[in-house]
Amino acid sequence: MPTTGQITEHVFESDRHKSFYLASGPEDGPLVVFIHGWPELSLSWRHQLPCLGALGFRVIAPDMRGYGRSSVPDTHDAYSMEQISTDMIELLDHLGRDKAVWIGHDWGSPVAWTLASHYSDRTAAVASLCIPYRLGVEGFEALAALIDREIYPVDEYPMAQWDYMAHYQENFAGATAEMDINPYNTIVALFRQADPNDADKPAMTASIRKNGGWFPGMNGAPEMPIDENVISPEEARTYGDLLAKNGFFGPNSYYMNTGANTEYTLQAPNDGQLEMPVLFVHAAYDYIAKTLGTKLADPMRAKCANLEEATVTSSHWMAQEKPVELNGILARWLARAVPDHWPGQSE
Amino acid sequence: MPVVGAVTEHVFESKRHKTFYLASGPEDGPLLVFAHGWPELSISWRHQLPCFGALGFRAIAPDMRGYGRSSAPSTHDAYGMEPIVADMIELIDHLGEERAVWIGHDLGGPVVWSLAAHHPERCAGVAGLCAPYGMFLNGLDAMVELVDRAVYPHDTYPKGQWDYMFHYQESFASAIQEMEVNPYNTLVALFRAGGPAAKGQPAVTASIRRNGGWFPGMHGAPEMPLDERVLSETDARTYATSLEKNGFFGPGSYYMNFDANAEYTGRALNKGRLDLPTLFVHAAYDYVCDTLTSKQAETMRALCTNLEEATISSGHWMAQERPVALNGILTSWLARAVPDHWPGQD
Repeated sequence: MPTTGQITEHVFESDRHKSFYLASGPEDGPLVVFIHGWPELSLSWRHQLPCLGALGFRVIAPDMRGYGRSSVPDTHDAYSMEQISTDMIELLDHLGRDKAVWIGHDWGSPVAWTLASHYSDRTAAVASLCIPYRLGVEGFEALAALIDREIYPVDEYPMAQWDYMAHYQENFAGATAEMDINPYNTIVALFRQADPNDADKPAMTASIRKNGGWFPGMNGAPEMPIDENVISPEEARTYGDLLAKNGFFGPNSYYMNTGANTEYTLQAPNDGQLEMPVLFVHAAYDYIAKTLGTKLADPMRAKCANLEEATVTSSHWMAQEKPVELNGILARWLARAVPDHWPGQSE
Repeated sequence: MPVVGAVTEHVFESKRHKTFYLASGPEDGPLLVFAHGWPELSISWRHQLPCFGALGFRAIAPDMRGYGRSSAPSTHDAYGMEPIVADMIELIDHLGEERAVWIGHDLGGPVVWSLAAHHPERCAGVAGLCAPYGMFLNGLDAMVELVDRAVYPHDTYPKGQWDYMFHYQESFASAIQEMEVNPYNTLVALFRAGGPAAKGQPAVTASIRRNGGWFPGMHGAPEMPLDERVLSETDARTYATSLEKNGFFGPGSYYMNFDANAEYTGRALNKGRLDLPTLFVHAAYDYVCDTLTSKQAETMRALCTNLEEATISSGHWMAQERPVALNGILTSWLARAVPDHWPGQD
């Protein structure tokens, strides 16, 4: 008998893309696909895969394009939502499946949302952690209207916590170079729990252009102790090694397709209205994707007919910081809101 | 950060009993207690504990009395349902929990059903695998009344598949002696996966007295290949080592308390009616607990007002043969039928 909840490694290659992915659970179980964000790996779902696999789902987590052992194209436009959602549909086809539950985090969230809006017939349900539907895809004016100006006065922080996105667009090479100097240090500096005392202070991402980068004058990210509330030293090494191999060009190129992504999003059928079961999970201490006590989640609420919301007491790296809380929320939602996609229902 | 779903070992000792138990999940998570059957151990739940721990439950599985590293008293009457239920109540008192969801398999079934019938205020929900409510608790004659006579004609099999229980009562010493000759072989002979082929055939348990035992004339259980669809060699060694240490007296004594159990059951609250959420899981290829084809489950259906039923295509050792199917069924039931006991709801 195979070990319950064991994780296996796979590669699928199409004419246009190669996807490495992790998998757990019975091959004929209902499919759940976990989509990681910036600058992560399939490994970010290491605490979810065995748990949902042991419940009888077929759970997979790809390295998204630009990451790990998947293809790493060398042009910005290869990292648009249209291209990346095509990777996911090809993967679904390869697995011989009609539908999946898509679960995305950070930059994986717009991918999951895009699949729900453009491929609703391939979507049993969709869940997103940290990033609500429709956030930032209708131009900066629409995004600016959602900013919490109490924390980010317009004079001082015109783009508020999204300033770092403008930095990529204005100085992509510089932004990428400082991360490439020491990818391991970069990962260790980024993968940290937030301090709940910082709830009402401007996030560091609001001052990236003013400061001239994430780590100005430091020759790359400084050496810091690993935050083991998020990752172990061995895991940090894996992220660091794979980012050293691939570089930050691909990961950062996700930020270079704003116009194309907005245009694509606005082409969604049915004006982007989502009728399938939708789950949004707020991170209580994520002060960039600060969806509690702000208006960031309002556009999502207007567009989702069957939306459930939950909160995990984590900062941004939810699946790694509070894996058990997240597992419980996902399993409960799947059992109650997506009963036809529960294991054993087709027997 | 602790490893998600890690399983840890614990011991709790009261004035009257010592309980060894395995645990997984956050200490403050809603409590699930898994009660194993004959002749098993807490490790029979090895595929469930990490899964439910990873969902945020506090999932625990004791070695039941007579087994493993828990107390193994030396009198039959120590193995009645009433003292065993008291072990379980003491355990959750020790854990500081008012209520648990109780999940029992085989002779762990009557334990959890008795908890529901006598201590409903300590139960958020109750699930039985293979053994429906009512079985074992109302005396042997009541079990015989529910025998499927199409499979077990009166003349040939007067007691149906329950003949082996009469064997314990008539020849306890020799019944356990043949199992103790070689506990490892006994275990390996018993722990075998079920399949559709044996459907409609009388089970071996129906002929134990006529045959003069489980392994007549064989000097204990024969050597058989391990059925790895149920357990690994390491697991089999763990069961055997425990059974070698404790013997089969305690496990066999569960079958020596029918009158006391029936008397205890007669004292159940509310005439034994259960209003809390209940789940019963049928094993499609369990031909002793033939709950899909006989009338065995009907007492339960009459007494449970909030009952859900599910079926797994396994033999008797459901949690070990088809762990993933069982995890999925338990989780779905917990999420839908016992929502107040889900992690993070308080």
